[in-house]
Amino acid sequence: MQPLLRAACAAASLVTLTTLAAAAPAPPAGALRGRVDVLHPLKVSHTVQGRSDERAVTETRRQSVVYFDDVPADPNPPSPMRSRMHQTNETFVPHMLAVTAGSTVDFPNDDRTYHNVFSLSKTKQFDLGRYAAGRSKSVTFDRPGIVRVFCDIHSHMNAFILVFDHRFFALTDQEGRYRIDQIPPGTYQVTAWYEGIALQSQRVTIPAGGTADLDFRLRQ
Amino acid sequence: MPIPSYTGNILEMLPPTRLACARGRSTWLHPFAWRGLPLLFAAVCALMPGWASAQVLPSHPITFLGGRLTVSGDGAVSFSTSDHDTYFNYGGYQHDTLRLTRLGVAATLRMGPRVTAVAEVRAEGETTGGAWRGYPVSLFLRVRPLRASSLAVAAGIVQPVFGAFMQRRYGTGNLLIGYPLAYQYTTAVRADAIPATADEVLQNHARGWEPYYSIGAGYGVAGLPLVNATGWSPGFTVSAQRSNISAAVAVTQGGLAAPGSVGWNGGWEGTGRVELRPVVGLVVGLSGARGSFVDGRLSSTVATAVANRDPRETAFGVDVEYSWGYWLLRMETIVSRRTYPAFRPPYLSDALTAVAIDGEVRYTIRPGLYAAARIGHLSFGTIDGSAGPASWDADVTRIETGLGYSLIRNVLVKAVYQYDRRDSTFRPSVSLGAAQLVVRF
Repeated sequence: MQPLLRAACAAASLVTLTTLAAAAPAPPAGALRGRVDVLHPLKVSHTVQGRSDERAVTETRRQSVVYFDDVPADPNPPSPMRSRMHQTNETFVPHMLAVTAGSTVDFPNDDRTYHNVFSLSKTKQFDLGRYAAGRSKSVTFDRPGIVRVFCDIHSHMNAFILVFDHRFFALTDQEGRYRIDQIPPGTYQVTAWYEGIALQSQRVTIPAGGTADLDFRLRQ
Repeated sequence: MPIPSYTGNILEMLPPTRLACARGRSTWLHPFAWRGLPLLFAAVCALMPGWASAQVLPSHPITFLGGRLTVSGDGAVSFSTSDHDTYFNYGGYQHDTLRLTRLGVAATLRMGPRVTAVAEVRAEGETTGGAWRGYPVSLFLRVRPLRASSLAVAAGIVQPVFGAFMQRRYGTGNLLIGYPLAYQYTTAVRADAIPATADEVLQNHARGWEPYYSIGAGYGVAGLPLVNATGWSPGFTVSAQRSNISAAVAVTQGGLAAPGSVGWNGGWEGTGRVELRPVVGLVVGLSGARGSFVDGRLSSTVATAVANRDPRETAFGVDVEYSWGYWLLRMETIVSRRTYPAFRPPYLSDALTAVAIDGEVRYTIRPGLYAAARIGHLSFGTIDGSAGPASWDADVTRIETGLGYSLIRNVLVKAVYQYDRRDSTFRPSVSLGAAQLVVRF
């Protein structure tokens, strides 16, 4: 075989192999699920003036956020979300949000008084000014990080917004359960985070097409 | 990946929370890059040892007993250039409003659905040295006797119900460092020493920091402001609220200018306040007060006066607050009228009247940073002396402007410039610079 022909055949073989390799199906994605137990959850109280009495409203905060520390290569970049954080009965509802970078959060005022939502966090500084019932203002969170949200008028109002630049996170429900889907198989470090006062990281292997279980016990 | 430095809420500093970036990059959110002022740290440590050890200021009310006991507090350290020759900001000996260090703790114990105990104590002293004094601001029991009514009765050491500034005189409530003139500027009259003639009042014109009179205490102390912002009085209040209207009435031993805490007033005074909120963002307040203010130990002398044997203090106040967006506007006017007994000619038969007008504005420039300004004027009526009618004290104008910057949510730094002018040839004006650090929890 002439050298030129051999080179052509080799090149053709290389192209064919590369194409076949590229066309090979990716291993099926897995999932992660589990439960986060907060051993001493925060109980936050504030006094509400009733028509004829005063009563303490006590809220037990059990929700936490589970997220991947080292993130797999993701062919589908996270898309921005649209979320809401209400101001209701002088409380931010929900108390905690987890969103992807680029997401916009609306802050509707459901109360009959003014609120003034603001944050001095490094991740996002904003001050929405005073606005009345029925109105809403929004903020776009374009950088990952933790944002503490407060009301300038009602000092007991506070909330968290966690901003991620990936999609591998989940907010637990009131029972502490969480689930994260569509994870490429592999071994990762996963962290559970609670109110900025408790944190735990563990390594977990996500099987191809399967579901891994990972529980956390958080202590302040 | 550069490590972002901390400039926001101190909670971000802990614990080591890592929010992963895509493609294997990471962002640490809590580097201890914040290099706070040693003074700030000392203040935080002094006020909140429990939280200071963890480098955290609480972001929610501190409660105990299942939420029935709520504790809060604040501290402020103020510095200024010297006002020692002009005494515009002095409320007494070594009591310069621009140079005070103040600490306060308040506790509310909800004893039942309709019974609450409230206590607030404060300590203050000159930042540059000198004696400290502690005093209760509030110590009362509040009862809501009716099941279907907002009516509340409080008895003990009660908060004054007169005026708007009284509700925001401490900590971050005061946009600037100085006080409105009506609440701080010492006028040329006293409660423990009274003039025998109208001329004695005029001889103390523009000498409010240390007026002397021939009847009563022979030593020199500061005169009375229109409203004493730091005193307390024993008594009781009755308050109620319905829809957009709230009202409160107080009967106290001691009055606006000379509260019971001063220790020289045995008289009773009634004060009242009505607050209207016709639309969101607008608050209109109306206040009134009437009572005795002269030291009770002078009562036998007062009984020998040829006129005005029942000296009285009467005051009215109107205040308006309106806010929207990044703006906050406030205005308050107080009219004060005091009668003194007349002993010898030229008789002090005219009432001593004064009118204070203050307006202030705040604009939020960016998150955590605001600019504020206040302008106030205190004018005095005329009385007839032997040389004819004359103003019984020198009119005063105060302009104060400054910035407030929140280092973190609970820590505020203020810097102000204040200009004071007195319509007098004696120590007529002063320009002052001042700074204040406020920590609250």
